[in-house]
Amino acid sequence: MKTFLAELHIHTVLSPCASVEMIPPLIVRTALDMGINLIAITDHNSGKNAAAVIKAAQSKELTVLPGMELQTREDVHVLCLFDTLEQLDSLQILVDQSLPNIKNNIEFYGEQFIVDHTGEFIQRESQLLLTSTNLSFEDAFKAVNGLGGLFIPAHVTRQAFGLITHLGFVPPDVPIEALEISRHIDIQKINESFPQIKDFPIIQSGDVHYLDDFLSVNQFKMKKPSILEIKLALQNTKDRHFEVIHHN
Amino acid sequence: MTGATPEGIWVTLMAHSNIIAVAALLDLSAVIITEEAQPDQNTLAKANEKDVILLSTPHDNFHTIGSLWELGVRAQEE
Repeated sequence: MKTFLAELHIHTVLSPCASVEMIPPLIVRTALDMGINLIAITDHNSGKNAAAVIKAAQSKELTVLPGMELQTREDVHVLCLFDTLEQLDSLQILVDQSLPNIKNNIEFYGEQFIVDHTGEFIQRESQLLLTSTNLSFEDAFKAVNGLGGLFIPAHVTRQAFGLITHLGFVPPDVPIEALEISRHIDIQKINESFPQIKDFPIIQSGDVHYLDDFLSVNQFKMKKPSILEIKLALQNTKDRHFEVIHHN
Repeated sequence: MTGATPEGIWVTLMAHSNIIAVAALLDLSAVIITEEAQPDQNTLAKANEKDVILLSTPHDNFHTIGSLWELGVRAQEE
């Protein structure tokens, strides 16, 4: 088994709320500087910069999972993680059909840049990404799971766009494999503050919008950095292991 | 969920089946789903199972609550 330190919630300059420094080479360098060797690219409702980050990490000791942070019609944010760009492209088709036809207002929301692996500008994404799709939480789960992806509700305890705030509890008929909490909550306090999620595997992410936001606390012990292995590690089964570690 | 009072009416755009559990738990009088948001079959089945009254309206939250107010429905004193 190998040990992986993972940050699975990273925005690029495609997300209007992310800083201009969130370009592929700087994301890769910052992850490596922090000892992180597994990341996922998760822009709002779009995977269009994932390929560039994967390319920027080529020949580096860093695995980049293509993904997106999907917003369901209940205004719940979910990390959708995949092994391949083809899987992400399939989800993208569905998401594009499910977004309202509204153009981004740059002055209000910010720029949405698609870039190459060096961070060079290719084009602006004109579709407004910071909005909800018309996909229900259940439909989104079925789509991602059907494609072989991993579906992790994001920052579940947060007031804005958190699963617990919006839906009260994890819908019991959806076989959720892990939940994410933000940096702002102490994982030790989950049991008392949010007993409805204490039985789920919980990852903690930096929800990286700035290079300073990376967290290096998710430790996976598994054979290789794939979705299937991550799922096994989250279950702590077949000799795979996952835990949120503390740096003192 | 934290803002609701027992026997109250919940006006919401949310049509997800979790609203039924919340309504049953807090013993709400009814849930009014606004803007014709469509509850799925699962939501309707759970509402029938838990005897939760679901109402639907094409109006948005603001107009729905305004209409309730005109009918004499008042909020509890804060």
